[in-house]
Amino acid sequence: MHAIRIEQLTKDYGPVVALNGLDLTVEEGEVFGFLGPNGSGKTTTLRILMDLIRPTSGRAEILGFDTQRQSIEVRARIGYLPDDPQMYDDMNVHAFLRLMASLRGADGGNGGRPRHEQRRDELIERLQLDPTRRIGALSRGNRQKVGIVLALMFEPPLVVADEPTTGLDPLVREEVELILREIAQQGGTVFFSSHVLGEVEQVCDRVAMLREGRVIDVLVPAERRRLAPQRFLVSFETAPPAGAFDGLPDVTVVSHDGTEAVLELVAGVDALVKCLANFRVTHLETHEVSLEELFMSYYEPDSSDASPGTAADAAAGGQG
Amino acid sequence: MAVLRHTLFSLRWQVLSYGVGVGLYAALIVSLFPMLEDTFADLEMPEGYLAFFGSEQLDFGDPRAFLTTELMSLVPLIVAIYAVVASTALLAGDEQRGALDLVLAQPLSRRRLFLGRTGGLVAGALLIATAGAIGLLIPALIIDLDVPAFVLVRAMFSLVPLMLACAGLGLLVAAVTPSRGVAGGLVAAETVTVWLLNSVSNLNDTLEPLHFVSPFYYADGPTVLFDGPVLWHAAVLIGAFVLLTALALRAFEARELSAGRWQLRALTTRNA
Repeated sequence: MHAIRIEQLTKDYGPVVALNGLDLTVEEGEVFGFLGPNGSGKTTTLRILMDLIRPTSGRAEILGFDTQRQSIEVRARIGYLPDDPQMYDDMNVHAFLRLMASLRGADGGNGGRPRHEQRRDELIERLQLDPTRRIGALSRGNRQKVGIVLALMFEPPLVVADEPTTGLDPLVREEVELILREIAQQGGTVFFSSHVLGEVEQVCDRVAMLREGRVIDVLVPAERRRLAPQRFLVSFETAPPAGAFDGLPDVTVVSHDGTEAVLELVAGVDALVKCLANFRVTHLETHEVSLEELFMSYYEPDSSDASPGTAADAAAGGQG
Repeated sequence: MAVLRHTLFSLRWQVLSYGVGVGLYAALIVSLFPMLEDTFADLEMPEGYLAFFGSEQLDFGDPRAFLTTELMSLVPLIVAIYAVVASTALLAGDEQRGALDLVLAQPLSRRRLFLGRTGGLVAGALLIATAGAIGLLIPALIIDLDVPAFVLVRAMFSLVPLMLACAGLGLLVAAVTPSRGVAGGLVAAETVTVWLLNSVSNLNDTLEPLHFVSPFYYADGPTVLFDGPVLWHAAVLIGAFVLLTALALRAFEARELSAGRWQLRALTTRNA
């Protein structure tokens, strides 16, 4: 069963098209990133999954349940973190989390301490949150932590989060990334949007790139790294002769100017290393095309379509 | 029950301030009666003034006439404003703040949430009427006011259907307007307008039919201390509350949260 299946999802607000036939499948047990610039439809998609807004056409399923017709069943299986979560300012953190547990029907049980309370306390400790503080007095980052605790404390099979690490300091951000990975390792699914490309690259098994309400590509960051061109910036003590690198398999000479050369490699490094061994190398730098460079290449103004090849080319070209 | 409890928690300051306000105002008016009784006994109010507040020329030595003019002319408007403010703030206020996103992220149906919130509004109206009744009763017992206690209590509780009708309208308008501010402004303006309409319609026979469109007419402020509430008037207000609330529920179930636009189509859209 798919954790999320979205088919031809469309959402328009009069003349403004927020989603334009979006198709996407997220498998159970994966951490799936949702990338795109502002207005590309990320938040709209997440809000449709939560049945907070309704699609103009198309449909979505969560763990086999229709998000609109079986919304209660869907929400019973999701831990949701909205972008900039808002709560009741006049309650303290504990009272707010207790209220949410009672709305979920998770307050009480068979006498023992409910499991979600143990998980809540564990998360509160890991995120260094003071649960006695009034929500109205919390900073943006601390409110984000409350939202994260709420989304995860019921140990839902699917976590849907809109920019989960916004406002967090680097240490807590790292802890949240670790928690998200742990959820996937334990069989849960995480689906989140982000602007933090390093985070997406580090945490996600797969990443969907969104543009103008459509998925334009789905990448596997690890695979992407393996296949992405690697760039070598080489400095020599004396200038190698012109054409010294011509004919090397899988090597492209981006530039060669006297004692400096920029070479790009798409496969095995052996031939290049052997070739370089013929000269006295004073400096060698390698550079991998990052997800950020790929991301930028997808959203250049004249990039009306995208494929892994063109994206990589554009990213590589951007280095020169 | 969790929704109802939380609704009462959210409304606590409004219910407390309106309840205490109405109670203290009622207590003050009753307490003033012995001091003003003799003065008012010989006083002849201008007919237009009395008609505006729905009274006819009355014997102001009679505490019921005194309370009708000094208390029951204004308290209906005060409690109606409570109903408008509370009803437009509850769901629309939460939505505007963004708090509804997390509430509705839980496996809680919109219907359950709406009905719990509405239950809290009804409980709030009953608590305000109770506070008003206590405010009337305590000084009335102290000064030995010549009005039976049940008549005073009944007068205050006759305002509950008015509060409910106004709350029903508030819930409906909040479910189809872009924001809490728009909803609150519209319903508050409507409430003051129909209150004035009801009052003005008493001044002139030609305008008299206008009072049928005003919920204040059905609240029986001018007559409730003498004759008790008219049952069919109360039924009209409760019927209006049920109808408006049912429409509001329909609209809320189909509403797109935080869309920032009018959602009149939600009234005719069938959710899923």
